[in-house]
Amino acid sequence: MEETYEIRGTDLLDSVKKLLTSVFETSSVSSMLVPVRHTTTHVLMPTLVSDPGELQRADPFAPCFPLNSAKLVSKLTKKHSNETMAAVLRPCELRALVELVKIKQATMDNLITISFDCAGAWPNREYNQAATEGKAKNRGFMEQRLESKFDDETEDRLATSCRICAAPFPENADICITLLDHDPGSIGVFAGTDRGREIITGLAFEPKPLPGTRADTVRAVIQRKKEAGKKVFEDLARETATMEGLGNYLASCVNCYNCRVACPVCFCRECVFNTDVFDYEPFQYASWAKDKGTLRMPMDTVFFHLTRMIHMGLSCVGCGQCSNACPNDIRLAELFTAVGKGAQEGFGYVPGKSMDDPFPLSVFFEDEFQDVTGI
Amino acid sequence: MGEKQGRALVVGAGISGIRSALDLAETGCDVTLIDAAPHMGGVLSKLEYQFPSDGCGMCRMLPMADRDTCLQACLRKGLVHGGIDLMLSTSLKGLEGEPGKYRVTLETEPCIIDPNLCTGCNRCSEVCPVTIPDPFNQGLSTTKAVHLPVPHAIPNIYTIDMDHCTLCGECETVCPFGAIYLPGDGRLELKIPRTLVEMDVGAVVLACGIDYYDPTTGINTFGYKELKDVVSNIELERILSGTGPFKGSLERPSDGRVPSRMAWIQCVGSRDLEFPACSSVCCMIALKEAVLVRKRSGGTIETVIYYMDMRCFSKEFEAYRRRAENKYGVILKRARPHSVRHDRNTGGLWLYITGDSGVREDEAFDMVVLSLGQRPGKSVKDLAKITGIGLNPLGFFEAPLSGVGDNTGVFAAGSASGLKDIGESVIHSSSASAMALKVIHGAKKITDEETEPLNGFRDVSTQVPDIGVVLCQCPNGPDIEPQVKSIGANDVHVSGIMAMDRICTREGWDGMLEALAGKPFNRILVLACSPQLFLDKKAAISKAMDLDPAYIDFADIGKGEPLASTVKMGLARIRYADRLNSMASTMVPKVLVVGGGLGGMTAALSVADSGFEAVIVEKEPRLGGNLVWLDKDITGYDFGRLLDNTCQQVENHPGIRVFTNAVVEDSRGGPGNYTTTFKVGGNDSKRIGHGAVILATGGREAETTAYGYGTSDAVKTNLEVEQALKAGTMDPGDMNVVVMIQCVDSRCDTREYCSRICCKSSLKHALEMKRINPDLGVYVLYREMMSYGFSEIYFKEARERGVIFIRYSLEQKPQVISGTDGPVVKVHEPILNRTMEIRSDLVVLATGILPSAIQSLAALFDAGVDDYSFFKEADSKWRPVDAVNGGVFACGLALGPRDTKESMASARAAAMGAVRLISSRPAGVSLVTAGIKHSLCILCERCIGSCVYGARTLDPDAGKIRIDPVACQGCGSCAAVCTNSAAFVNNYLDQQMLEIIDAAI
Amino acid sequence: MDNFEPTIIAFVCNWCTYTAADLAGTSRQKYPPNVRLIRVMCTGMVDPKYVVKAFLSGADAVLVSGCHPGDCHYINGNYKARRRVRLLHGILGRFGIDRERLRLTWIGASDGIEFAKVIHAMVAEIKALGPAVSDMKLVI
Repeated sequence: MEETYEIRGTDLLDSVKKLLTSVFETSSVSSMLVPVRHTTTHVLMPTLVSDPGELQRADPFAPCFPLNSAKLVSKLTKKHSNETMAAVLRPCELRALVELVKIKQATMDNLITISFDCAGAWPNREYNQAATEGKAKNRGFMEQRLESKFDDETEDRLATSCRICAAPFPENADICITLLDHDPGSIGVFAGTDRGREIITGLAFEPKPLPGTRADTVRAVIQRKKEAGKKVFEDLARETATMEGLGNYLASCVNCYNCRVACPVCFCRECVFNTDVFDYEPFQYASWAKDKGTLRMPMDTVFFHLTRMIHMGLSCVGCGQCSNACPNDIRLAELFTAVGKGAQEGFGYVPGKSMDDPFPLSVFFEDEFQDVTGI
Repeated sequence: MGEKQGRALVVGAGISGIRSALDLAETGCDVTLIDAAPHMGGVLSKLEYQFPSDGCGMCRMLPMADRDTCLQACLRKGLVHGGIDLMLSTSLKGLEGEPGKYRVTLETEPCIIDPNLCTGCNRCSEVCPVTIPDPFNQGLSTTKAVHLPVPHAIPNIYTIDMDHCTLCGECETVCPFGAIYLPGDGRLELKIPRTLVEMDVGAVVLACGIDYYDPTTGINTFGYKELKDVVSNIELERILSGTGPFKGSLERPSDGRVPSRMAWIQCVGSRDLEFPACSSVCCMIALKEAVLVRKRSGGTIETVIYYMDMRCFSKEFEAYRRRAENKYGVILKRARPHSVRHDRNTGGLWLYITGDSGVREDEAFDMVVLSLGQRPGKSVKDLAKITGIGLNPLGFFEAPLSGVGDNTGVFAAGSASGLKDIGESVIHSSSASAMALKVIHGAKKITDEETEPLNGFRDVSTQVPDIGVVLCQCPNGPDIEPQVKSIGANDVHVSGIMAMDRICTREGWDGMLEALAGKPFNRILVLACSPQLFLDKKAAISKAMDLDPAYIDFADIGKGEPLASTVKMGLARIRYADRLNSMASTMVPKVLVVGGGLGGMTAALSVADSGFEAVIVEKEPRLGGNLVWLDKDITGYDFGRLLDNTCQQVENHPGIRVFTNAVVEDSRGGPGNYTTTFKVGGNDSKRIGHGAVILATGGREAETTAYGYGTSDAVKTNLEVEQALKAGTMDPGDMNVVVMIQCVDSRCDTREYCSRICCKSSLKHALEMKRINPDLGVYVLYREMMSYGFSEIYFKEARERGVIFIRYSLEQKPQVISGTDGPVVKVHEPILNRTMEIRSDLVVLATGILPSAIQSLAALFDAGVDDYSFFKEADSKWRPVDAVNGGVFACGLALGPRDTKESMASARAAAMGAVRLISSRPAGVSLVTAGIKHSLCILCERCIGSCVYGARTLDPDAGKIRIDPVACQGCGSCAAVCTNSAAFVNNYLDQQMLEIIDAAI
Repeated sequence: MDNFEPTIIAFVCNWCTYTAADLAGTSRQKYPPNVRLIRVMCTGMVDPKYVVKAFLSGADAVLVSGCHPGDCHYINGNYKARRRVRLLHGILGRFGIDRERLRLTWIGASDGIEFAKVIHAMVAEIKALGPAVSDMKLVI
């Protein structure tokens, strides 16, 4: 059993700031990526903090998830550096990061990852609107969620991707912060890696076992979310049981490709659909229109989404940023999470789980999947 | 193809001839490849499944550099190579002159069907009234007197069996092209009569293959040809084939029923009085066939192989045998069936069998397969007479051991010099071509004539596609011109459509060339049927139009697909046709040879004799390796002389540099261009550039602690005995009894493979000792005597001289107990079924061969080792001495256990491989080669991981993926893993493929 | 659906199935004209995009056919293809493109009869299943 520690502050944020400051000071961290409140607005953005004093405005627990930070960590760590960095990430961000490390888009050699019991977030549109109206519940959101033991019935603004997220708890971060079932205002900490163990033992916090009820609570949360997911996926399966159904589902897509820009595991420098591969000659459109009778423009919409499923489905961490990014409110998160989950199960692959699990299309064995062939 | 060399003649277009022809063509020789048959492929045209993969893979022999010189297609169909002139139905009739300057006479059979006119429409065969047994299926099915000799060959021209043809003339009448011209009717002259051609060649390679023993000529026929369900192993191969008599379903020939029990009888026509040699390959063939039958039948057909010794002596073979027995349930029985009779009660076959211990063990089967021994090819005798190459007593060519002092330019390849499996045949063919190349290179006149520059065509690479379409209008087919014209009219890139009359004929073809000459099109699409036939004719169009062949393509309109799809797909493909203008880096004309034993020295000599520089890096203070302690081989060949000769040649050769006390430290680069550093004498670091590397790091006798070794002076290893006999410190005259124990620590769970040479070594020592002391009692305790090939003769001789062979099993190994008068060996004698105690003066252990540790060295060059830590070859059959990446080769014991001669052959084969690579021209970036768009690449490195050839690397300084166009084989793995098509394959571009798909529907 | 003639796009390996198709032709093993052969160097180069494109262009089924395990000209491209087809089965299956419509087979160069058999079987099966997409206009 991993040794766990308790940190007691005046409130949750205070406790977590204590932890972050302590990590900053004792692990020679040169900078830390963490959501920080904007000085004049309610917006929270991932911010690279190099002065521990600035952590005062840090707030990882608000229902604000403007973007998946894995891509930011990629920018920070892609090239080797001798400086140690830390990043506070939601579990889905960490999973995306692990996927990016596998494809050499980031390294964790000099990165301390910190994650926590994620209460979920609101869709960006909801949050921003609430923020402008001064109703963004930055403080108090997590407390309420903990009080309800992450019961999503009591939090109707939660993004669907968060409502159906079956892995909202930290597992393989260097430092894992536990919140559920702790005394109000206090947090627990345990190490998810060997490196994390080294750091935590150097932090001089009080060892204290995790609350005895926690395991059951966590299990119940996951169970509820899985059930919610099941319902969502069943509805989706009905709606998109045919290619025509998929076409209808995506009918309002304008091929802006924002979903793929927002996707943390869509790592291409430029999407193939923006390259010369899809630079058709003008006469070709005319000829397609002639063949089909009509040609919906922009074309290749289903083609784009299917290709994206093939490219990132196996790595999809279910963060829901695609839905956030869609200007026309297509329920992309449900679609991509469902497809991703199915694809992953086909290979027994859990994205973001471990660096030791190779990406399924990068390996093969001679005696496998015999059922794929044959007639 | 590199710098022009002279011309070579290769006789026989089977697997060995193809290997030799490719070797010589790739190194710049003009090659004339002849075969007496009307098709290529020899025996292998009938064999589809090869052990140990149970599949094929012959195409892996095709050139890896300058791939476009060769038709990229299944090699079983045929070989089309720019440097190889293929002459079928042709034999060598005369040879005069001297090495380097021969004049040969070739005779081509008369042609009744004109290959230039025949389009393969099959009408002749449909009307032919004469049915004959189909020779392709060994007579198990029928065909017509006018027929295709091989269903899949290119070119595939109908032939007429004139022994059966009644000259009725039906075919002649029906042929729409006037291609058939029957003799008779007073027309004495054939349209294409028997022709004699004379030509000058520098060297000749004889790859005339083998023939099979015919049981009907023997004393014991095993019912062959009398009982329908007794078949030869080659007949079974045909039965198992999809193009076979039963279309691939396994049936008994007598009644078409699926057999339930099948027996194989080994050594039919081998290891007997008439033919005392072992045919070497039949054990593995039988195992493979039985495995295939077990796999096909889902294990429902019982398979029993009756054998004398199961000779699985190559490195992967013992493992194959284990798989056959344990995984597939093939039953092996050591017993000798002596006759096969019809079983009246069951309609099946009754085998009369004498079991291992002399007891009758008769059994019923419903199909029996005879593993027929091999015999010299039919033409060997004539060829020996013509070329003056000697034959051994069994009628095979004497293979010159080293070429030293052999003043000849005629070399035997493959099985023509003795029976070999495919891998060994390939090795010995490359060895023969290496020797031929030496002769040709030595005779080369230095001329000013330079090879014509590549890409000297008009530059159209930046032009907008301007497609000319040629359509071949077949008088047999519908009028397609209007449809093609209307498609062309809708494609803005098509600017001309020309309908031609039958370009499959000489007249039609010439007419097309004339019409195309001077036309400004920058892309040409030819619509015709069976376009593979025309692939080698791209060059002619290219010349006529001054257009790079990269911009010429054919679309097959004879496949029965809708014409519109085919034409549109062809247009989509040709529109994007292009040649990558990236140039391969210059080939460094130098070969690094690591290891200076016999293999390394032979390889270096071979490289240097081909006109390239070789650098030997040897870690010991002197050259020679294992040859230093070896005395002579089983035939009495003196290794001391061989060592002295070879060392002397190496030292005197201006093309070879030797570094002793030298160790390779590091290497960078890839095929064609390596930079390697090595340390000489411990501190002096040197760096050389080289195009290829040959690992000749050798092996050693395995250490052992078995049978009391190390505790008694009377227990020695084979090596110690060899040394003692050589030094004269051991006198067999002083001894009464010697016991030799084979397979020490070998062919068991801890070391699976057979070391292959120990049985021969022990036979050699036994005979030597018996020669010195005929009264000496010699006992050889063995599991299977691996005296394959001609060495079987020595096994027989040893038995005749009174050497006693006692078989033991892994379960009942002998024991060696130290006694006061020397060791006592206890062994269970299976025939008498009792335990014997043999008091001996000397116990000799055959401990097998271990490779030198080469894992890290191989890894430096992006090569690997196999399960047994020997060098891992790309393919044990088709690329038996090279690593997958094509720049690294190995020979001798580094590759696996082999005897001295075999090591030398592998060394020459490795050298040949290296020379093939470094002879290729730097500009020869093949059309289907990978590229990269750096601006799109985000360095995920998945493409690097996907490339089996190591052609992709990350340049960390530039932060870019680099592609080695020589190593790249154009498989497209990289493009398929790249999510945004930054990685692409030229001529298989994404946009091109998407357009083709669209056009298809 | 009596007169429904399905279109099958077949991505065939240059080294094996392409030869087999050719052999089927020369051995006069007629196979239905519903298939469009697209020759690729290796099944390992069949980008999943190609398969998707085929269906979106109106193919009713796709065949990917390469060398038997162990026989790949490029050592292991066929194994890579197998994983990709598995992924495609998983994804396309959700949208009504069942695995009957996307086949992976190993057909060696000599298996002309086998090739003809596979095409016959596929055509019959797809005829029974009907078109992959009944209204292409809805699939944008």
